[in-house]
Amino acid sequence: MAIRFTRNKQVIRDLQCELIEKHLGQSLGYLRYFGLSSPGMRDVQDWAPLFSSFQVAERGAETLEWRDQHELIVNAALSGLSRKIRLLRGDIDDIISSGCDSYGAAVEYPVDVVSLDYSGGLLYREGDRIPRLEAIGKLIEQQPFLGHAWLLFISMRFDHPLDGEIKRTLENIRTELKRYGRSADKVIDAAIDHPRDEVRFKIYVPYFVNQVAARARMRCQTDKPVFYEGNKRARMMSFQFYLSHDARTVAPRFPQERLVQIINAPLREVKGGKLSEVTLGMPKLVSAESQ
Amino acid sequence: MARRRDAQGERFVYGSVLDALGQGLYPDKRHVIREFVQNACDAVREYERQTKRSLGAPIEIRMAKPSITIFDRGIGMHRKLMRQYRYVGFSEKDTAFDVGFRGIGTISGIAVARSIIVTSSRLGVPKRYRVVIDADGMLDKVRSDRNPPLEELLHDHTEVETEDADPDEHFAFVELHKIREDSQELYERGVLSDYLRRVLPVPFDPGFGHGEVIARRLRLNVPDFFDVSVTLDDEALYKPYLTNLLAPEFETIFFGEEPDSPALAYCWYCMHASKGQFPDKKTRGLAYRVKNFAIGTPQLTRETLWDATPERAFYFFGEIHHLDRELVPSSDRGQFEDNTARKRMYAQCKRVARVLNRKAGIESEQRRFDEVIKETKTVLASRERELATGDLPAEIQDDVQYEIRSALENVEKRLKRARSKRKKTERDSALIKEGGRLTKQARAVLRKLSRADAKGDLYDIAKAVRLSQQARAVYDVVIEVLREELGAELRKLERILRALHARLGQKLR
Repeated sequence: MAIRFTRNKQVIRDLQCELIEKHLGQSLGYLRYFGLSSPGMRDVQDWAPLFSSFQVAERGAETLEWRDQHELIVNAALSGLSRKIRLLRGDIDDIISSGCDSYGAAVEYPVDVVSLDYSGGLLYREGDRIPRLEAIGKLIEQQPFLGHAWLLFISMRFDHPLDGEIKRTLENIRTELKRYGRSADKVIDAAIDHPRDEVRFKIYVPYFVNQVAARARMRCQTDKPVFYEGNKRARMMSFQFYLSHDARTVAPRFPQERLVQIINAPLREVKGGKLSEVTLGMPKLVSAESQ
Repeated sequence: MARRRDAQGERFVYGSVLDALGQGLYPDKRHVIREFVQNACDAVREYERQTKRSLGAPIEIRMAKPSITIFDRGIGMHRKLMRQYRYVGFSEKDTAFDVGFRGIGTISGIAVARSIIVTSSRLGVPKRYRVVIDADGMLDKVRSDRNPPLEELLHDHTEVETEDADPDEHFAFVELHKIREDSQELYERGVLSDYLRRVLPVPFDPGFGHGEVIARRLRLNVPDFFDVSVTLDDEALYKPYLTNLLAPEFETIFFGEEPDSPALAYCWYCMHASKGQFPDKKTRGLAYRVKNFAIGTPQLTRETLWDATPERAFYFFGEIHHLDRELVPSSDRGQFEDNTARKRMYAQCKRVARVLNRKAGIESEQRRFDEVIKETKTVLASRERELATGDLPAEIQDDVQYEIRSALENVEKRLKRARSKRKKTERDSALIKEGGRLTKQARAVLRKLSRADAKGDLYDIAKAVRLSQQARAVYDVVIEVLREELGAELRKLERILRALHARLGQKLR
């Protein structure tokens, strides 16, 4: 049975829908989706009129993978969406990284909307690797088709202890700004020491995506990140990116969004189903003239 | 003498029967898919019967590795049926109404898949059930555990789960999960599609011009006739059909010769519009159908019904729908079980072969008459033209007379036969009219021919090139020898003559 979203999650969904209509409005009904699906496939069902195809990854519980995968295709059939839905069996990060699912079914690119609605965190490690980030990077690399523009939605949960990755990246940003004659000590220190992870991820994730996109010769626009309380009071955060292929050069481009933009971009919170901008007490990076 | 009781807990059926059932009954893996679709058809029919509504939604077969799924929105299964799904050889289905009734269809799935997962919800029941059959687990156990009892295997490797659902929900979803390596051929879409179109009770193709008429007649005359929409990866499946055929005809076959004898079978057929057999070897012929599922191939009807001129079976394309409830298809649906009903059916349905043979004979005769008329027209037109222009060689006057007389005799013979028919078709009438006209024309040409010599309407090469008497004598000898050598080959003789005339004309004029 279809499961309803929480009020907060519904706001996120509405934001995403607005972005789809804004950036991909000329292709509504013909869009191609790739990503995860919510339990009961409510998200896919809601968006079905906008899309002509859904490639949906489902890992399933360990040793019982077949159960959730079976459930997905049953729900697809019951909602009359079997024709549009293609199940990719396995972990989505592995699927993205290898390009195919556990049974060799290849992901079909390009896609127009990618939704990585993770129920867990972004930074879990496997040894030295952070598979989820690697997968996002690999995903972006698969999409540089001439003239192609697409949306990337990432949702994550704060369930992993902060590791050095975020801190080291913030330090790198500090160094980078300094190189260009900007002192970001106040902001970076505030971010590193801030009690809320949201503040750090607000910088880290857009920075990461912009960098990877630039290498793949894509322009990247970041929508204002949003944090909210999800199901069972889980702390969640959601990012929306619009990426478009830039064919002007063979050489990689500089990230479209400058570090200043990323750092100073507003943060939003959804509370009780209402969206509002918040600062969480974070200072902004001031202009060079006023320093 | 006192009887001894059997030891308690004694088992009578063991796991190896699963392997035998799975592999032995279904050497053709496509039959397994058919078994599950049969269940879906029964569910759809039951839904329509109970609700008096047409379902509308098709049965959907999908191939998405590593699985094949069959989904229907039929009546669905309640808990008892789902539990029974795991049984071997058990079925409460009504043989009169349902297609699948032996209770072995489900187990057939283990021949092709490592597990079978079925989810279903019954109309009016606020529950959804799932049955999981671990086929691999069972077969591994058979091999490793020295063939344990079947009950244990089924008990340990199948389970039924329940969850709440909307009572208005009704469907069954079968997933044959992890198709085995030796069954990968099932993923050859074209092959599977071709097979399913031929065996399933799918509608006639919209492109088949006679489909609607035939379907209407079948609904009127076959009490349990139904067709159901089936898609394979979203492609609608329709019965294959042939083109270049005549309008359908229909035959009812009865149990006996008594006036009130009930109908045993209902047949429709279309004859090939061209001469001889339909060229499409897979589709031609008549197919047996029970509840609109094909039994065997058209080769079966040919072998069982045609005692004489069996090649004529393939002059036709059609179906024989069986109404006798005692007629039981074999497990693999390749034949009928050998029983009294089958014997009766073959005996009575041979009438179909006789009727069709007669029709083929009549059609053959009409076609031959038509050909004879065309040939005769050509000959008469050609000879009349030659007589009019003076081009007919004198040397072959007698031969041409013989040619026309033979043609006339042939036409008259066929005309007599056509006129003597009690039931003349429109075509017969047209042929009779044309034949009559031709005989008059032929007689007129013969009359002209008999006077042609005297009137100088024939071509005399001796006169044309002014051959001397001696040359004429030599020429006559040459013609005599040619005639002896060529015998009755008028065309060759005529060709040589005309060539001679042309050369002589060139040389001697």
